[in-house]
Amino acid sequence: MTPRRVFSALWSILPLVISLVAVGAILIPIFLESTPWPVEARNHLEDQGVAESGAQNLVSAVYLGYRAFDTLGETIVLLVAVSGTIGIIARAKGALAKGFDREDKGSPVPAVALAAGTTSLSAPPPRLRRAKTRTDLLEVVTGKLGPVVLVFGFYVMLYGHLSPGGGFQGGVVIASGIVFLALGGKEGASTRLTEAGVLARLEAMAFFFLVLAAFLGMFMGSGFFTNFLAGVGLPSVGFIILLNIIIGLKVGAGIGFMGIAMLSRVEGAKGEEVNHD
Amino acid sequence: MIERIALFVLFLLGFAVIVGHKNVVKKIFGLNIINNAAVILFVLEGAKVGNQAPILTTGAAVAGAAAGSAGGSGGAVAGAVAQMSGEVTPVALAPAAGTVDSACAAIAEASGAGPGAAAGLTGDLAGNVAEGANSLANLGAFSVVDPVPQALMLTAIVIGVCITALALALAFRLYKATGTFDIDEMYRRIHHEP
Amino acid sequence: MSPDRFIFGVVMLPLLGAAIAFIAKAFGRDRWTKGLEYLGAFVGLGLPWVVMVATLPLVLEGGALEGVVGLWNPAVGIFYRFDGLAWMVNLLGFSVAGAAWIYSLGSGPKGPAFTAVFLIQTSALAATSMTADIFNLFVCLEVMGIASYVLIASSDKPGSFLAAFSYLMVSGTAMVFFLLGIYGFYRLTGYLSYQGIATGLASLPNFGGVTGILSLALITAAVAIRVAIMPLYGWLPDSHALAPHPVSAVLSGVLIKTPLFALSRVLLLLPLGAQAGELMGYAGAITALVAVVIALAQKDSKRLLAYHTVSQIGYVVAAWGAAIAVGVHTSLGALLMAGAFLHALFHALFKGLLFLSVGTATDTAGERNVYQLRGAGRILGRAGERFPVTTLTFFVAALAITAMPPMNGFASKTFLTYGLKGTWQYSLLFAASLGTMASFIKLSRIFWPPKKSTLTEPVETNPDKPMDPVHPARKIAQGLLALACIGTGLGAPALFALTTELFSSGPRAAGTTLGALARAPQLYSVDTLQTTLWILIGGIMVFLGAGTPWGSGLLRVVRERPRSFRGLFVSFSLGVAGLSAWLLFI
Repeated sequence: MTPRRVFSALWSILPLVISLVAVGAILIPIFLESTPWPVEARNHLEDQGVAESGAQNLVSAVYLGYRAFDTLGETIVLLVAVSGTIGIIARAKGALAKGFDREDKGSPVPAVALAAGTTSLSAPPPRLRRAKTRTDLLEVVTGKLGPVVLVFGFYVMLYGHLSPGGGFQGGVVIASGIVFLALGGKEGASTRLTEAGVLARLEAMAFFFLVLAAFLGMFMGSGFFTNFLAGVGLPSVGFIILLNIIIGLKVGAGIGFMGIAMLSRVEGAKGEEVNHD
Repeated sequence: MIERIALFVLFLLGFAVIVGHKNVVKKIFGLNIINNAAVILFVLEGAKVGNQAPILTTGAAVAGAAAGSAGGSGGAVAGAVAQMSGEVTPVALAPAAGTVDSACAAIAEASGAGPGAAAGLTGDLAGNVAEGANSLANLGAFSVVDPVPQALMLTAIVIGVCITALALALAFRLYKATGTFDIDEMYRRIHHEP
Repeated sequence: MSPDRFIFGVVMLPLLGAAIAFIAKAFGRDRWTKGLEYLGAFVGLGLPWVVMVATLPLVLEGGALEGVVGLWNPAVGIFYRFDGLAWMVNLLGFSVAGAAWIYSLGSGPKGPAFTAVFLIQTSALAATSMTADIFNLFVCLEVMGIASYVLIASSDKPGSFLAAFSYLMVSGTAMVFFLLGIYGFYRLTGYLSYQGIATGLASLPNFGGVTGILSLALITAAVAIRVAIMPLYGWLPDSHALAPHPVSAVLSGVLIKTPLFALSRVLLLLPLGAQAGELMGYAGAITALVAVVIALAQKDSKRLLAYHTVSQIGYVVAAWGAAIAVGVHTSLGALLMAGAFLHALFHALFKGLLFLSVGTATDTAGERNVYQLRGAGRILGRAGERFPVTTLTFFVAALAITAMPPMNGFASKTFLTYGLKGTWQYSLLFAASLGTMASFIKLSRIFWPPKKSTLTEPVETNPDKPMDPVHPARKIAQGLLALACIGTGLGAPALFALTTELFSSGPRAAGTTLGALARAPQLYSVDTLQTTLWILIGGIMVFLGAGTPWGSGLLRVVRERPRSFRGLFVSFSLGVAGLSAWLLFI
């Protein structure tokens, strides 16, 4: 290795080194800060948390009670991510014709001109090597396991106020149950839970009810996101259970939908390929 | 301390991948790594103020179990009674405070609200439980960890997952459009347009 | 019903609208879909105006709605504060978002999913404007961010995917730094509300020491990424240039300013906040000048506009930072803050209008290159635009951004620069005004009659292609914004008084408003008109200078400077480090 090459190698990693040193120098005092952890919020929750929210699981009490507004924002992020991801992937059909040809690395064709439809790229998309995605083992195991996972997901969701778990955690388990069912499902299976349309409707309705639950506080409680169930005389934990169920269904349907969309993308790619043959 | 240094190194590693690696998918992993380093730091430090999960039924059960080990099966039943009554009042947490009187009161009240069968046991067990609660007080203070960081990080984790999903979808489209995962190559090909 | 019950309508009504739009999408495929989608848009963009009107008397009296969301215990709950500042930011958001949504009916991505994400973005704007809790600010910024990544990518071009990806990566990384800043503050004080953190820090020896300072630096830098000031602006031009036109209008007009005004709440409360604001103000003044030079070098018309966004936000940040530095209680600070906000509001209107009208012109002509496109007015005329709405509205907006009286830009720039007179930032901003003038002379050439030597006029070369008529929704949206530009320009003194009054709500000195108003300049004095004349002459000189071989060579160097993904992160790290060093050692 000549000195010049060493120098150019050093030169090329210089920006990386500079940014690492800068970031490291700023973050090390934060990572190593050793002030005693503040306990005011913890003490308050330990003493009053159950009385104020009705949930013994204090984490649930915080994220569905005290800070439910944050959770609403988080749900929205999930909703937008699901809808955006599915949109971006779904629109990928024929994206090759709009963009650059993967084979033709030498002369990239301007995308705008192609998108405007002035030229048409006649080169066929490269063949994706088709791996065998399903085996009997996978189908049998996931098909049998799916319902069990679904039941467990509902348990985690419904008991979120008492035990570790809650809407998000339960929802994710439900979503994996849905994906299992979809993986193991054969033609003409008796469940409609793996249909994209059903999941999209479930998700939209759950989001609507979540917004509605926040709104009802305005009329039945004493403001947005107040516990309107307590306002009509039900036990106050009901609010957290209700939110857990809504969020669980929403997360389950949303992430399940995303999983289904990615699975059917695999199918779509096959279909595309067949068309081009 | 050592675990925080490890987290710091993890963070820098993730950041180095984001800045230094050319592959977009690895860059997304890098973002994930730094996000997780921040999340673990927050939760880890927040968990240093207590010794129990922030779920108060567990607290009652633990108190009951401790009492049970000291004074026979009574404590366990007391914990069970407290749970069976279903409706948790702050009083049910009282064994955690370690005072004998309120522990008895808790059982009395809980069993009163609970099924009738359980109520009969209470009288026999009160003595045992009192003993158990004493020994619990000697075991050291019962305290839960700070639940606020856990709730906040739950939010941060979900947001991180969403960002990752979206970033991967974008990377997929970019690959379909440019035929490469190399970020510089992507810039070069796409900015070639007029 | 008392206002604190329905105040969250500005956040929740757009969400309800989004929920309705999602239902329309999920259950769609019949004739109800469109109706439901429009109902959602009405609920989300129309009904919040009722809340705004209902709360106007309260904020005019200088009152503010404060409290905890859902009336939970303040030890853990989320604080909010709806005051004059929040009201004004919402005014900005809902007016531009409404016009942009109407425009989107005529162009670009449509459909319930687009409407839903658009409404969610509007809702996040409203939530950001009124939150008083640092973690809630984090969530709001993330919602806003993810909605913008999706919307930028919705124009479905490879360039827009790359822009969205770069923005996502750099802003996602910045948000992790923000999270670490939250960790620092929570560890030191045990609170998440701004007020709680401020009180907690004040009670600590040395305000929390190094960790306190670094946490502030991390949070400020992460927000500065969203605001796109100088070292941290790299993601903006591509995303704003390649997004669909209505999305560009909202991104440029509203989205980059809301975090700035949300940040001012934090900086005004925390110790050392004034110093952080001061540095951002300096960066803003430099941004205003540098970005305008880069803008002058651009070929693509929308990219030129995007760099102007960076430059104009530099104006806003320069005045905003100076206001934070001197304190908004002083009459000078109140004057600067009101000027900064007014410019942000007016910029939202005229930049939105510029994106929409240039978008209409370039779409119809099928050409975005400033050097190629000529006679856009005639092309639009052939596309069935009998009354030249697009041409007229473009010139209204161009006059506004170059600060020509009586447009609104003239008023806000006069107020804004007046407060900075005598500082070095003022000379930078003045130089930036010349550049703005020159680059808009350059951009307006797309409406000049075609030259003989112009190589291509796409429509002429392709006469068989039927012209798409300009959709009436586009004209309506452009017309509305143009009227707003002229109207706010004429009513600027009154608006300035109103802004100053609204900003002085809450626990501030009562005399501030009067002091600021007494210091405010006369809008049409010999002095201001003389400045305008100088800008006009200087701008023409710069334009001619840029046309010389030497000038165009320089601009080519600027245009073709290397840009890379890694550069975004290196500049971010250096930005954070610079801010930290400034706070530590000043």
